[in-house]
Amino acid sequence: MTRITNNRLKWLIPIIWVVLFLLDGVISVTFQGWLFNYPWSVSIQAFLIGIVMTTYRFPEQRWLLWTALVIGLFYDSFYSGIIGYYTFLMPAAVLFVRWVTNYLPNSALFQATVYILVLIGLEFSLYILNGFFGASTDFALFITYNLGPTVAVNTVLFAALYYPYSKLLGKISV
Amino acid sequence: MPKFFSNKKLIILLITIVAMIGLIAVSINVKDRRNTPPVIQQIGNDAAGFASQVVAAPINSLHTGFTAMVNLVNTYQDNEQLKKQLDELDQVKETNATLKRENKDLKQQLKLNSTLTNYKKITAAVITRSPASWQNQVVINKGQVNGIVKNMPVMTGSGLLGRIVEVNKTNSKVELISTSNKNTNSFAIEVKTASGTYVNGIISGYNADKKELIISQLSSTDDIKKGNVVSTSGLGGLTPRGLYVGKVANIRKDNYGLTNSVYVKPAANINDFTVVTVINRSVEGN
Repeated sequence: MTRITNNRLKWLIPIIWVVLFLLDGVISVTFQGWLFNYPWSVSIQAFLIGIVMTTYRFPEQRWLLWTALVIGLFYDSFYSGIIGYYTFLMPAAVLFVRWVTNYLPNSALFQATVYILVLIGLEFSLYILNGFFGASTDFALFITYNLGPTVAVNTVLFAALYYPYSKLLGKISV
Repeated sequence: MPKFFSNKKLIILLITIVAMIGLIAVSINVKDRRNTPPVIQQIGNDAAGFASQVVAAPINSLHTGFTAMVNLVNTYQDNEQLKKQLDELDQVKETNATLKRENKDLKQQLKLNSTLTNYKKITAAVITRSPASWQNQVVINKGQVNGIVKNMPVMTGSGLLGRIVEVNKTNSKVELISTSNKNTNSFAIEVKTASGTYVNGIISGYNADKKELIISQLSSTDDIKKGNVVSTSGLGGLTPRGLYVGKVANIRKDNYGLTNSVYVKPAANINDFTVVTVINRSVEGN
C-alpha cells in the first residue's frame, strides 16, 4: 500500500468510526420505544461493526489499536460517564480480530461470524464488569432479555451495513 | 502456529485488566463525589454532543416525517376524545388559576417567599441515549450554562422521568427511574390516601415486566388503595413537592412476606419521549 493511501486511511477511518459511535446513540434514541421495551432490551453496536470490518480488512495497520482506544475513551465519557469499559474492550476487539485474520479467509460470512463472536464476548465482559460494580441482573435474565435480542438485532444491522461499508473501505483504500 | 498467550503477553494482559478495573472504580468514585466531571472530560462530552446533533439531523427528519404520517391516521379519533375533555379542562384551569392566586396571597400574608412546591422549568431536547441496555441513561441538550445542576429531577409530559446525574457545559446526562443501578439516589414520594392523609416512602426499583415502579419503606400501607395518587414529597435532594409520579396499581407482599410493596403505574412513558422538562426548585437544598 502506498504512503498516500496510508495517510488517507489515518484521516478517514477515525472520522468514520466517530460517526458510527454517534450513530449507536442516535439509533438507540430514535427507536427507544421498541429497543428498550420488555421483553427485550437491545444495545446497538454499530461502532463495533466498524471496528471488526476495518480491522479484518487492514490487519497490518497497527495504529487501529490506538484509534480504538481513543474513540473508546470518548464512548465511555459521552454515554455512561464511567471510563474503562469501551476504552479497554474496543482495543481488545481489534487485537482479537487481527489475530483471527491469520487463520480465516476474508469473506462476508466469516466477517459476520467474527463480529457475532466479538459481540458476545463484549456483552459478556460488560455483564461481568457490571456485576462487579453494582448493576447486576440475573444471569438467565441477561441471556434471554439482553444477549439474545442484542445479537439478533445487531446481526441484521451487520447485514444492512456490510455492503455499503465494504464499498466505502474499498473506495478509500485505492 | 504462533502462540496467542506467550508469557510476556500474559503479563501485559494481567496488567491491562487490573488497570481497567482500577480506572472504572476511580471514575465511578469521581462521578459520585463531584458535581461536574473534570474539565477535560466536559470538553470531550460537549464536542461529542455537538457532533451527535449533526449526525442525528438526517435521521431525525426521517423519523419526524414517519411519525407525522402515523399520527395523521390517529388524529380523527384523538380529536373526538379530546373535544370531550376540553370542556372539563376549562373549568379545571379556572379553578386552578383562582387557587394559585389565593395561595400566593396567603403565602404573602405569612411572609413565605417560596415553599417546597415552587419551581422553575427548563425545557430540553433529548440528543442521544446510551446504547448500553443496563444503563437507562439519556443525554439532553442543556447543561451548566442553562442553569442545570446535578440531582435535579426531570419530567416528561405529565410524570416524573428521572434525575440529572452528570452536568457538562452544554449537555447533561439523565438517569431514568427505570434504572437497575443499585447505587443511584432514590426519589422520596408520598401517597395520598382516600381519607386525605399522606404516606411517605421511596421509589426503590422498577419492574420491567409489568412496567411499574416499586415503592418501599412506606410507614403504613393499610390505607393505600388502588388508584391513589403518588407524587414527590420534596424531602431530601433537589426535588420539589408535588411532582406527579403516577397511580397505585397494586399492593403486594414482598418476597419474604414481611412488608407490603406498592406498585405504581408511572404517568410518564419511560421509553417514548423526545422533549423533557428539568425542574429547578426555588428553595435551596443539598
